[in-house]
Amino acid sequence: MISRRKKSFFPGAKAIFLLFLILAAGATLVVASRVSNLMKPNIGPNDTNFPQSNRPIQPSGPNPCSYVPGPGHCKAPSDASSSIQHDSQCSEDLLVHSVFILPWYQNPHKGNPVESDLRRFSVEFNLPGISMASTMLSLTSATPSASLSMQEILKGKARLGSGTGSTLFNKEKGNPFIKEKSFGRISMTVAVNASCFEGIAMAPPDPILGVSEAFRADTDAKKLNLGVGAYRTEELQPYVLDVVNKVSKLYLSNWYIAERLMLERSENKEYLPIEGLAAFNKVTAELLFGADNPVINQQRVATVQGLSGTGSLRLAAALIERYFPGAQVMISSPTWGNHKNIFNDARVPWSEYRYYDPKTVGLDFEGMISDIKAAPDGSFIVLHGCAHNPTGIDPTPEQWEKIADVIQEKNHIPFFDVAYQGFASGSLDEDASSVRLFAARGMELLVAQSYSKNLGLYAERIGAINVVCSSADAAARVKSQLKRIARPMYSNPPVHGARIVANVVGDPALFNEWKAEMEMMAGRIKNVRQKLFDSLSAKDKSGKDWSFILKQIGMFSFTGLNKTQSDNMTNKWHVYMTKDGRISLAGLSLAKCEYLADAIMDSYHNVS
Amino acid sequence: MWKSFLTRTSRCFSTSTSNIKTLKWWDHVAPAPKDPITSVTEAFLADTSPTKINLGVGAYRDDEGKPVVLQCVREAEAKITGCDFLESVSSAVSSKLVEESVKLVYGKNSDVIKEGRFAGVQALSGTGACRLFAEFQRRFYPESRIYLPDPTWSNHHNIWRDALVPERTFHYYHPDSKGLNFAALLDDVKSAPDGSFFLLHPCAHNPTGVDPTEEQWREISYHFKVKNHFPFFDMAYQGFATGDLDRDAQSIRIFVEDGHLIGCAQSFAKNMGLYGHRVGCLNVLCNDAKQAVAIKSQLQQIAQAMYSSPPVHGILLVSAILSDPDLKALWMKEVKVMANRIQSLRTTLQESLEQLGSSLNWEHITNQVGMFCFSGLTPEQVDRLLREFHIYMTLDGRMSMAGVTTGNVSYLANAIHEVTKFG
Repeated sequence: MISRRKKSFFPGAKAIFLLFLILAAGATLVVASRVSNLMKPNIGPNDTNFPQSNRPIQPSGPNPCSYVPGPGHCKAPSDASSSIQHDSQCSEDLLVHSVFILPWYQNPHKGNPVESDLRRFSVEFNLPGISMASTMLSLTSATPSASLSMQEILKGKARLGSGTGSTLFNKEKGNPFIKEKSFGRISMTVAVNASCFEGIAMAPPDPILGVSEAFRADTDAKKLNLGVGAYRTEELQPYVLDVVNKVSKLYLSNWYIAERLMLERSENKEYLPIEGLAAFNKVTAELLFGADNPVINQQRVATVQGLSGTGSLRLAAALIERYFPGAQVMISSPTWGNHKNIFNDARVPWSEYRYYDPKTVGLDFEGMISDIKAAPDGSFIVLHGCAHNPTGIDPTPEQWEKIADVIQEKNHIPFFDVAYQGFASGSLDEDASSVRLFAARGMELLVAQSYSKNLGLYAERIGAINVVCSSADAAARVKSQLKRIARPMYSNPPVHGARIVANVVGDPALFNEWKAEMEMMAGRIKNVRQKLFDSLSAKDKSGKDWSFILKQIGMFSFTGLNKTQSDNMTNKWHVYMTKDGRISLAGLSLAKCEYLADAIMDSYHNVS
Repeated sequence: MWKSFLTRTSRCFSTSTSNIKTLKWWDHVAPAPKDPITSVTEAFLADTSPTKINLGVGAYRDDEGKPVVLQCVREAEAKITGCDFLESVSSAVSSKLVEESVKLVYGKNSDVIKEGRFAGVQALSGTGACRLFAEFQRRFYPESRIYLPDPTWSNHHNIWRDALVPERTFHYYHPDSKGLNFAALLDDVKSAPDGSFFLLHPCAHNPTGVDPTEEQWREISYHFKVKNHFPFFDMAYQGFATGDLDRDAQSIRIFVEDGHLIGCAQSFAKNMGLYGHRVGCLNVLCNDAKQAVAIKSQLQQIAQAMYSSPPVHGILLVSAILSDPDLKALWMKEVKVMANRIQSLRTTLQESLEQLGSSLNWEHITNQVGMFCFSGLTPEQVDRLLREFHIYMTLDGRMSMAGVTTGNVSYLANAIHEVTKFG
């Protein structure tokens, strides 16, 4: 399949150029068909035999804008009007012309080229991978609703990347600038269109970061930002931990005083190994499992430094996609919004298990257990190690035991996201107890870690992925594969945050200082939580039980407010929060608890 | 596979107390092949010989073979301490960085910048920038391929493969002349389907060190225009080819002059020595500012699910250097010093080989530019260099000239002469 797309490079000579193109079309066919022989796919220094290479190669045809039929696929055009129309949005840009030659086999459904291509191949060659290819296409969008079934694609309903708003092949809009002419058996469309990226629409804004933008734009003195999950002091200022300051200064002095020494300790700016800073990887696994945990002693943990929680989750998601094709990932409903994006982009199918019960504003334990039981054997169950985001609702130790029972029984693999270790209870060990409970049962598990919150290293992007395996040998193999996933993603991780963590945890004095600071941060949040509960209980005479606020843990509280109530919080009270009713208690001070309680009371009782 | 795997394991899970021996979740995971470049470093580190030389990794070294932290980076480091750098990168800092980086590519007075016709995002150095583009390419041109030069940096293959973009190669290097195979390159450009994506190294081609001349770039650009190909530039070594940042970006500016829309990945790993800080930038030229906003949002969304946001420390360093005229001038001077040191060692190495009476032609050592010299040594010769002389390089014969010093150049010349004189 050959595609033709021309951009006029001498704007004055469009007509001549078009004529030339038409005459040359036949000749080009011959030339182009030679291409495939001349340019064989080269697997030169690839050396790396990726499993992907076993995947059916996608039908070729680089430019989805247009197709010229290859030899052997010729059919007379059944419907000359079934042309690909381009989005009219940018048609005012008359600078450059593009020429499209349409396929002869254009199907009467007016499907976009990708659809018709997929379909043609599935019909003519019956490729087993074609449904996978369509899934792949559908997953190019970040929103789950954009996942399309093959049937939908075949019906021609699907639009590529509909979730991201792609209008590359928008068929609904007519384009007044498109003229069509039929030259014998070739139908040609001349579109006044400009760049390769004309069809690309804005990606939707992030729901959490959007809250901060609205907050900044608000000028009211009483405004309160409870949207973003980043720690604030009682004065609501960002907080740099003392230990981090100390370590950073240590580095600065190194520049001047002990420069040579630093270079000898290879503390320079050279590349880290793909798996990250060895000293960091050691301490991060020990922090998670406990230094004397058998999984550490037996070297059964594959630890690779990641770009905070997101980057670590993505590495694991890619590992699942590569080694457990078709395996399902179960995420809690609700969960951190980016979980869905991560698994979508890694092309890992996911579904949700029940977690939050709006009636009790607590855990729907029955629903959770039955959904995990109902998942196909060998699913990956994403669990929040502590301080569930966004609800702040954690299972009790007894419930964790039951969850572990079910997961073991179903041969599932637990996949922990630990973003708040030490931040929830103030104790690193207590917050890791869920993970350690699973590890103590001898289960294999995945654990993603982040140091954004507990060390305040948000923008340093420091975290890790740990895979607990049944043997040291398996751990070594898994680690090598994680490295192979990281290499084409970012080569090697950033060094600065890793050194800070390694130095804080590696130095007993700093480590103790950090623990004290963490207790202080967790303590502040607990105080605010208590004060908010007290204020609400004192003000509310309706008998409503607000004790769920005290039962929740960590940075967030799920208020149970619905979207209209949340809107009221923002519009009337200048309290900024995500629309699912989540508030970040880190953004709240004791002094503002009364005000927030008034706002919640008003929204809860007066808005439905 | 999944099914049989399950039945295999499901027999043994039922025991209530765990027996770790029965868990086989990862048994089908085989060890990944080692990366050809990083494995060279690992072997080098394990070598105890006092005369060992590492010509494997493309990282700059001073004349004592030591890693270098640039003076401008030290000053920037001092400048940024104390600022509140640990929360998410403020959008002001990041857009400043992107703007300054883009100026390095297109020139500070370029229309592209005045009109805001670029979608620029920070990326995790060159690899991250290439990966973002590869994902972007697959998302909006799901049927397209990428044409890579033969040879190219080995990780390029991995990047586009992991992004599920099929690859092709085009002719680039001529083993006989150890120079550019220009005719074959043009043939491949002409015979590729119209509207193909091509990856080009704008300067200091990795691994060969062979760059097209200005006239050749113009011709390549012309044929790209005729064929409506999309040029994607991976600029990892700006400044290392000629010592001049503008001259090294000339190839890209020729394409822009000719009205191409292009993509460009930038890395500050080499030219600022910020290897471990992962600072880079990806920019895509657009028709207008409106399109630029849309494309930028898409690139950010791809990054959001990969690592959320880039690490801040390196970004602060780079933007401190680029936005301070004094530091920037200092940086440009230091880039020149680095490029010159490499250039002078090329000359010394070539002369040494000639003085040793080598009957072979070594002119390509000085004809090639940048950090690497594609020596033309065979894998057998590379292996002899390793075993007999403790000299480490990748099997394709790529030597990182940064690893050569005035102290070891004659040892190296002698070793190369020894392994090539009967070949």
